[in-house]
Amino acid sequence: MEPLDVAVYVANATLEAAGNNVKDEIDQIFVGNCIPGSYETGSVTGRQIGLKVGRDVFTTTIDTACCSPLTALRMALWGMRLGEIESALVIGTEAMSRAPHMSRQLRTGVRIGEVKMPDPIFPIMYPGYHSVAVDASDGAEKYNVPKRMLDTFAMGSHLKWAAAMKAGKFEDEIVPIPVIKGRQKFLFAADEMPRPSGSVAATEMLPTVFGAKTTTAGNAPGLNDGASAMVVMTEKKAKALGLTILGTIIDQVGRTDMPYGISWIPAMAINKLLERTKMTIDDISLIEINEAFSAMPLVSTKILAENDEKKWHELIAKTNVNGGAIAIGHPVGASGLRITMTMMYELRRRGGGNAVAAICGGLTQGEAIMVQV
Amino acid sequence: MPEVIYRLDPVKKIATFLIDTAGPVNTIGDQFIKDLAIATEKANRDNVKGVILASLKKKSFLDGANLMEIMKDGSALNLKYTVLKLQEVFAALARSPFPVVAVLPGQTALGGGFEMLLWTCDHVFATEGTKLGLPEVNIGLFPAAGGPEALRRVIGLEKAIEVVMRGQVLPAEAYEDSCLVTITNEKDIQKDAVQWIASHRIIINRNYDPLWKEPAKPTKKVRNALIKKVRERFALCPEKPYLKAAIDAIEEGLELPFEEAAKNEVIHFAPLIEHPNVKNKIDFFFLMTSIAPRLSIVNLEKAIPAPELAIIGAGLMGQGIAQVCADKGIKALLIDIDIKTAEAAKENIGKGLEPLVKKGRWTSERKTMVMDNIRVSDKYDELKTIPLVIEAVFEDLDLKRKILKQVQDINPDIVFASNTSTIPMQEIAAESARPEMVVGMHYFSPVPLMPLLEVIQGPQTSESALATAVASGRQQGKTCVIVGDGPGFYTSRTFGAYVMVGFYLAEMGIDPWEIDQLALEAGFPQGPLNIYGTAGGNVIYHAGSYMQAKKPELIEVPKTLVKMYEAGYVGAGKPCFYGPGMKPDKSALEHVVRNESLPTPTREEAKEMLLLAMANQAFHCLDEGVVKNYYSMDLASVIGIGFPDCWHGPGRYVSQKGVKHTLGRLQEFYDKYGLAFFKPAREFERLIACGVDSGLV
Repeated sequence: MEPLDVAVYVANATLEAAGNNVKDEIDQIFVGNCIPGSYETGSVTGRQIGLKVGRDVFTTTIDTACCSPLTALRMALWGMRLGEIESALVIGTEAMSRAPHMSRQLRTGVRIGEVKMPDPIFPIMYPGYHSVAVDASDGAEKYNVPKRMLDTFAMGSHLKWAAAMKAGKFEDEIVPIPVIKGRQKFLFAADEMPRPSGSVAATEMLPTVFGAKTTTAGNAPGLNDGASAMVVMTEKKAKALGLTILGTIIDQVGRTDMPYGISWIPAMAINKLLERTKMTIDDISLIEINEAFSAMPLVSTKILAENDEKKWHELIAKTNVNGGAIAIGHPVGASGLRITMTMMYELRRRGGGNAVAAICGGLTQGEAIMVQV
Repeated sequence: MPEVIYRLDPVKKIATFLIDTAGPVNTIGDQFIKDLAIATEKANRDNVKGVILASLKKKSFLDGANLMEIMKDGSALNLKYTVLKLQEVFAALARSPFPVVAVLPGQTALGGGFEMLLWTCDHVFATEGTKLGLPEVNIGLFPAAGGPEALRRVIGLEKAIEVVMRGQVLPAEAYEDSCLVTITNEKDIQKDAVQWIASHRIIINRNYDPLWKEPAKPTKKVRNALIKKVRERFALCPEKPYLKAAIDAIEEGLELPFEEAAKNEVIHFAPLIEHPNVKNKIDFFFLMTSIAPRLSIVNLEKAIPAPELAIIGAGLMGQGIAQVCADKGIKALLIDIDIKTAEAAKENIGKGLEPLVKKGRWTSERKTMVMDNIRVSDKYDELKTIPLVIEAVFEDLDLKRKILKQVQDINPDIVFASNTSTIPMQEIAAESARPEMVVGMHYFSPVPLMPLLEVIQGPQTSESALATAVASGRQQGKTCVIVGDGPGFYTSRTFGAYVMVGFYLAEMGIDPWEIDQLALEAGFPQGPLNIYGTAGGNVIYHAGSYMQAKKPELIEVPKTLVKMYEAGYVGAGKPCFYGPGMKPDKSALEHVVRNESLPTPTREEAKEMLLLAMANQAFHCLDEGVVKNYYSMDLASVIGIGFPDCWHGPGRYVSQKGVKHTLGRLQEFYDKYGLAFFKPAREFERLIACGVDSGLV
């Protein structure tokens, strides 16, 4: 199977989720993707997917690092608000296991000496800046989040995932994919990343990486493959088609800060969103903050709690309630939509309410979305 | 490559089974069992006149089951068939028509390895340094390859029970009086074995000999009384199923023929592997052996080599430290206020070692080396050239400060380690010009037996001083756990909680001797009130009062303890809860301050309160950064202060009970009894917020 097909499977499943296929009703496609080099031809990835899905409409592929799928969704929102489109298919996709080692030396010929083959995803960093692992660690230090808390939250991610898995909560949101491995064909239906049988004690023992003070493989997510998709349309159009509305996007924002601020940018984005919607964090019943590292949800909730420890704990308790990227993995261009969707399903189970999801992206951009169910 | 290599001497017609399994020590796994069966078959086919068992590993003859292999599957069913298969193979070798002899030149035969000797061998030749034992109960199991049965036939029931139930590993010399072991030297060992075979052509394996006379075989009545006593002593705690299973197997075996008794052992043995507390014990074994060395990370490059160190204070602790150092080849200079005291102390160390030499546990050379490595003095001048000094005077801040000043005046570059149990480094070093050289090395009494060393890193302690303390501690054979500064550090505080809550239970109306009994039932090695006497009421009173003064919100000294101390009820020769021979001294009762306003806890509540008081204090220490991580928490609490080993430590205990449940119980006890010890640590709320209810350790 080609890595692109993961996104195609997910897109098709989403289009068919309502019972009748809404493919023909899609006006435009927006695709978020962060490492196009993972695919056979790293260009117009979205258009390639769109054609495979069989919907020949204008397709935008966008890269705002981990923010990509939520930026793609925000573009769809613009289109609908402007009246240019009435509906869109939004996709986030990533195939990190296929990211190629690259060498620029070969094109011009190699003189005597070695050929270097750097890995674009190890460590994830931008020229002139720290590794994101260091930025996360520094953020935790700045906001006084101790390492044990980072490790505890990480273990919690695995345990919360295991509890949700056991309760069958992911059945609605995961589409199994047939996989051929050697001569065996099987249905890949459950995440293989989570390690709920681990412990905080063992996590604490892991060595720190890339010179960071507190970041380890234990409080960071996996580098994974995955895709997520969502169908959005105007309320009028959805009603006309007789579709069930799973959730309503109240608003979306994007925000930036100093390039090292990735651990707190989710909080800044959420605060901007709350300002725009004239709400407070107390009006929010569920939070998703992508676990790019444990530091992101912990630092960001601490900011949202305005340093009040009790409130902080309350906010943490309603953040990523079914586990997050540390357990499931973080296919960078797909996670943003996944957390938004998983949050909507959880809101439905809880009888509705307002919820926010936020994600940080490379060189400190942040996306936040508020959804009502 | 087979794990049991078969070699035949065609002239003498003697076969040798050379054991060499994968891994650094020889262990029993599926492959070993298969290969032993094949070798036995070959020996029978070749019609040999005898078999010699030997190992190709230098230090290890055969050291029990391959734990990794057992844990990987972890099912009782598979384990049962594996052990039965092993028994079958042992039986085949034992029943073969030729004598079987083992040679152990300074190697260890532990667990299943020793059981193989006991079952299959007609005789064992060993040299000095060889160790034999059945340590299975230390990992939550018991010997079930015929070990208890076969051992009884060699050393008698009473001694066999002692070895099995205490998991004893003894020098081979301890078995010299029995029919099984002959001590020889490395040069002759092979020759001795061959000769023995030549002179014992026809021999019936004692396990199969109906006429075999078991040494010191007791009458049925004596036997039953013995078993009953053993049950009371070892099988009190229901959380340690392996001890009960061992006794059950031994008792039932008394009525069965050898092989049936061995098979019956497996019935009791196999289900243990699925018990969570057995997993705790096995995990703890790995914590001790493979995690502990990686726990206390220091920059060893900055450690100052200390081939010689000084100890100030030649009391019981000072003597113990000197002995341990000297035993590991470190030159120890023992300093006291006058030379006579110091000399007497050295003499005392020598006296303490005599029984060990007499019993054959120590060679006389080892004792001589220890005594040679210890030097005594009453002059601080000698510290000029010594890199590390361990201060082991009594717990008096002014005295410790005075000594620190004297020492630093003479040698400002010396690493000054204080063997204090409660006083923070920051206090000791407060007036020092070089506070960075001060570090804590908290030993436990008796020093030669207790494996833990709590190394205390004060806020100013330098990397180099810390590394020096850890490096020297490791050289002394101690398991080092680094903790942060604070009154009572980790272990004294947590231990204090246990003892104090014991007293509070008495004030709430539980009979004091019943409290100690309940503690044993909960799995503690010693009851809290008994400890008050054995550790010394003075020490506990002073440590408790000190910690209360520093941390009144978490630590309180019960009125009863104060009254007992004031009345001179402090143990160690003085009256206490127990008189000579552990007889309850009822006169202690008049000092118990009964608090009628509090309800009397039930037996189960009392046990839980003892466990929770310790666990809660441990979590407070984690909160405050005194305890650095969960593994340290569990490790130090079990090997240092007797937290029940069946729980692996406070971290695993809370993990298994559930964080929410633990927090709820603590809050209940706090509301009901108002004791500071039950004020829940904040860490619990953090864990719950993060969705961690289990999975701590």
